[in-house]
Amino acid sequence: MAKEKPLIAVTTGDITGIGPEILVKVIVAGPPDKCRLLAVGDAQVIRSSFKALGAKFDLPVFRNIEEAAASEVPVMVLDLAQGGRELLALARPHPEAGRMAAEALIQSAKWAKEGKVDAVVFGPLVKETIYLGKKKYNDETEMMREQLEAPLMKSVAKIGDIFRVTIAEHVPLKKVPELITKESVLEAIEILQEALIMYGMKTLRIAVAALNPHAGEGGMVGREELDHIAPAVAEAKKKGIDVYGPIPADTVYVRAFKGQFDGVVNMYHDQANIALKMAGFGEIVVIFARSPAIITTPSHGPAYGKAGKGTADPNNLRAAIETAAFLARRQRTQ
Amino acid sequence: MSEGYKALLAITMGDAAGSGPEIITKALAKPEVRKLCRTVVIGDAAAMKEAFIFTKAPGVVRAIGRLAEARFQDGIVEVIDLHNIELDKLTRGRVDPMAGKAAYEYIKLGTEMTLAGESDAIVTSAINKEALNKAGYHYDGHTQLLAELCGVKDVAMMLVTENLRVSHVSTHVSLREAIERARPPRILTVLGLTNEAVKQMGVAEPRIAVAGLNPHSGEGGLFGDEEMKYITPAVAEAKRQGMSVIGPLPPDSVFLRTYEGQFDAAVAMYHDQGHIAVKMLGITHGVNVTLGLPIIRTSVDHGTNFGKAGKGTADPTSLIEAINLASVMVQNRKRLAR
Repeated sequence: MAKEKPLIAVTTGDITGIGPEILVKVIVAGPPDKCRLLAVGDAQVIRSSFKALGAKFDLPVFRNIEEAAASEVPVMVLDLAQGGRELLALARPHPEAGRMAAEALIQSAKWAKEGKVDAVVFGPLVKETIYLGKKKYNDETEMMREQLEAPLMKSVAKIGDIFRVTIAEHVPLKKVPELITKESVLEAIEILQEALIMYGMKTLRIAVAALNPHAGEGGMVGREELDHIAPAVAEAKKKGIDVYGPIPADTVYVRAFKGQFDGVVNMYHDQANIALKMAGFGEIVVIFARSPAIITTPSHGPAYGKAGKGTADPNNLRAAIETAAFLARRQRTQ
Repeated sequence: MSEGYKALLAITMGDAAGSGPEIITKALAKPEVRKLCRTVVIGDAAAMKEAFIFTKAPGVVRAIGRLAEARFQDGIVEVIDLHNIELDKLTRGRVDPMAGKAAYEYIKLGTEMTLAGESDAIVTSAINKEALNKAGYHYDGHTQLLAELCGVKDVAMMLVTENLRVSHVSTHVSLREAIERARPPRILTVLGLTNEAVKQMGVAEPRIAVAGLNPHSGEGGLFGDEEMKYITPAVAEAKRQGMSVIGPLPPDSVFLRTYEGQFDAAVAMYHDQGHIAVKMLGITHGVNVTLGLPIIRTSVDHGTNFGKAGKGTADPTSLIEAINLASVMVQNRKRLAR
């Protein structure tokens, strides 16, 4: 681990989707030069993915993580010998592919936890097929919390220079109001502040979006602001956090993009995602706070519609690798 | 009517303590606005005269008693003078019940004139809800007031900005309430109103996209079932009625796709869903249109901007766009009626 450049383990993700293709594209185009890449997955699958793109495969393949880590090679493969070539670019969820992707993620994260690699970037997964052994998880965060013994892990999105936490992400809208409590809002504010500090942001200005239109307008159109959000903001201020809100959801990103805030706490999925799509943000990188290791991932899914066509865009994966490398270098200097 | 017909628009002055009067002086000084339509301001002549002093816009105020006296000459802003602002008592830049009461009276007269067919449409400036309420008029905004004055119930708000038209199934209600309101009869009503309005905006066969309610439009029931239970049936019925409707589509991409030209309008299921999309485009030139009234009504998409009142610096772009859109809608309504 005394190597100058951090070693980043990058998994192929769900091999029925675009994961292997975008990983190969990043490697072929030349990986970010401030890190070393360890492609984690089945070596035959990775080799086939090079071939499918007409690229020559000449990477060293290791079976042992200690040997890989000790080498000076800039890009290499760690072969988990999972098989699965027949599933490559199948273009739909498959439980076996999901199991392989989950294994690669958890194995890599454990190596990171043990200090054998510096960070992990996992390729896109799909919620339907997150299996580990026989156990099915609802999402990757739930799986990592259990497997890495990190019950407080939470994903934070990095959007350019703005960071975001969403309290109720993949739940029906109807269920959102009951998930908004003083405790859940305060926790989100604190997680966001931790993420901003982890990333080394100079200012830590956090905006908290409202739940209701016009931030509830003094209780006239919803009480969650008065009953839960404002008290959480007051409590966070008491703890010394630089926090503002509740701010009407239809202006919070307008203000954040003008540079008024470094982070935004969102109540629900579309509050954030509508704004970001309209602003044309493609490269959103997901990072994890309260994690025992540096872990990032691109924000998109396996994009089955594009699987096997050779047209998938690798830039989000590249951004996730760069973010992981940045965080790894930063951690070393701490 | 010939192509040369110039719509006659009643423009309400809005809250006199805000920047509405100043914005009107700037908008009506534009030659392209004068060329497009005829306008009369419903307001207070003294307040309008003072606004000209603040903005130094070219033009003078001519107070008139009723619409029939208007002559629509260049360089002259004709104001139907309700004489209801005492300038020396007006607290500019602050909530003032006198201004709230006056603003109500402008809207009332403008609506009556337009309902009677004397004016072709009403274009409204910003009002302050608190001032309105303190003056004893308990409405949650223009839309509710206009619906009552017109005696209708099924209205909807549409925001228009650049290439994006978004109408809303509900607006001024809590998120919990909004979720309950997204039901087939209401969705179908809003689809019908949207279809008609977009035709009036000049699109012969509108293509309308409908947003889902839940993340990823529910993803097949994984994140909510309102799409399957309520939205899909409403879309099917709209199609059966001959409308070109698609949806429900994932909320986080439907507005971008509409903006990029794939659809002529999008229907949002709740206030912030549509407003987030529109406001990300820039809030200086949006137009708010009330659908479902027996009259054409457009409005500025901003508040009274108390901070800029009296400074002469308020931006008139939204009002100019509201005037343009009302003129277009009046002309198309005449054409479609033929």
